[in-house]
Amino acid sequence: MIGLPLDVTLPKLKGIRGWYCTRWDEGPAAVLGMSTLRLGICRPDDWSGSAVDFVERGFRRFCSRNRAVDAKRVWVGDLRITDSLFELTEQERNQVEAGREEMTDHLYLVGDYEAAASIPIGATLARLEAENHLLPAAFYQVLTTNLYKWMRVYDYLDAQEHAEMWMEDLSDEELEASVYRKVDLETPACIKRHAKTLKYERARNLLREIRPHTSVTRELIRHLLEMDAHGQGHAHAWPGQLSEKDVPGIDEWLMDAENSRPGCLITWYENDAINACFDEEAQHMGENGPCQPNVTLPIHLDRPVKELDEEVRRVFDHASAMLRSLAAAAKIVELVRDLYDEYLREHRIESGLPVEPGAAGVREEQL
Amino acid sequence: MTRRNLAAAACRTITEDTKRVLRALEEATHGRVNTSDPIMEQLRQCPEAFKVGEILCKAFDSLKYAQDGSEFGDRYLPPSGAVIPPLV
Repeated sequence: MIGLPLDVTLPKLKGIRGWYCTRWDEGPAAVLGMSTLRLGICRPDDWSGSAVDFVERGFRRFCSRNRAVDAKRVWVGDLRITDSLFELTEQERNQVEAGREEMTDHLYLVGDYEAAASIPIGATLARLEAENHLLPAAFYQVLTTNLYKWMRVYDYLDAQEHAEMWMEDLSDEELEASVYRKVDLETPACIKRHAKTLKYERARNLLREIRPHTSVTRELIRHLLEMDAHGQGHAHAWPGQLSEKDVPGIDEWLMDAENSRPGCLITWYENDAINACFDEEAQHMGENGPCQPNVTLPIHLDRPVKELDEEVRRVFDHASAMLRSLAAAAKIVELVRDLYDEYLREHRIESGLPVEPGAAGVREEQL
Repeated sequence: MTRRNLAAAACRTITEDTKRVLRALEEATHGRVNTSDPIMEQLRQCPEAFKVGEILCKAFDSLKYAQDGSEFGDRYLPPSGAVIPPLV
């Protein structure tokens, strides 16, 4: 390996694990570990002497089997099993553990995103419209309905809300020059005309019945129907759905917490008015409290074995559907980005505009 | 051994392994020491070493983070497990 020498070295001692956990971590992990072993998620050969390690090995394999690698190509975030709804610094965790008197009886499956994946969908919608005038709205409807199952989506509707709030205080002159006015102006006609009337069921039927002429459209629809199939029977597990009975203290925590960070940003093209509104909002996200996780499913460790196993199975089924659905969605996003890049190339050639930084570079900076 | 016997033996081993791990996990839920782990076994045999470690850990914890007048969250000591080379 070529590179600068590291100034810190972590030795590997034969037969000794790299880390040890406190009994506060080992106890709950052992209860979950027994359940995952009974359900066949963990295997006896995952056992290394630590319950946390045991669950982690089983969970890693589970994620890998459910196409986490494919999902990671686009979605920047993590799915974790934790004893806390919000992330703690090492110092905060030490303080919590010092004050703890007994083992926690709750664990959570938490899904969150570190960055919003950029989905510049304008060029894709134009391609779909060439096949059928209802297809862009149908595609958009089914895509966003499915994404909403696993994440907060930021799109033109959020941008409209943000813009309307700020436009109230602007003079006519300021309004004319502002980006907020463009949110509505830039919305494609195919979305404006049909988005409100074309409901999910009808949109999905259209996608199933249509026979597209181009291979890229066929691919887009195939991946979207696959995504939709994985998400069937699942609803978004927002922390807001949890009750005091489920998790004592949740109401107070939710009052202090902010809305979740979006897992994706759907724009018509990069750096458009939606993007501008998102950037404004993103600057202040998390300023007034921790952001709620996008997905939270509690596991009650104090329940009888049968009930615990049923709950753990339900939680892992949800995780499986989420990962597989997001893996299919990742394929869609990659195609959408390819179509957008192709549009940019064609646009430059036709207009003779000087070459600007590549779309991929812009995307990197935004994320 | 026939194929059926092999399958039965494999099945029995899996069940026994599962039971063994379930027992170990059951013990872990009660905070009992896992004797198959060399470090944990040493601690079980010599709890005084654990006490000394615990006292040192508390002493270092009080030094680990910034004191008055420093930025919140600044570390004074490196994270556990880090080996710092001697100064040149």
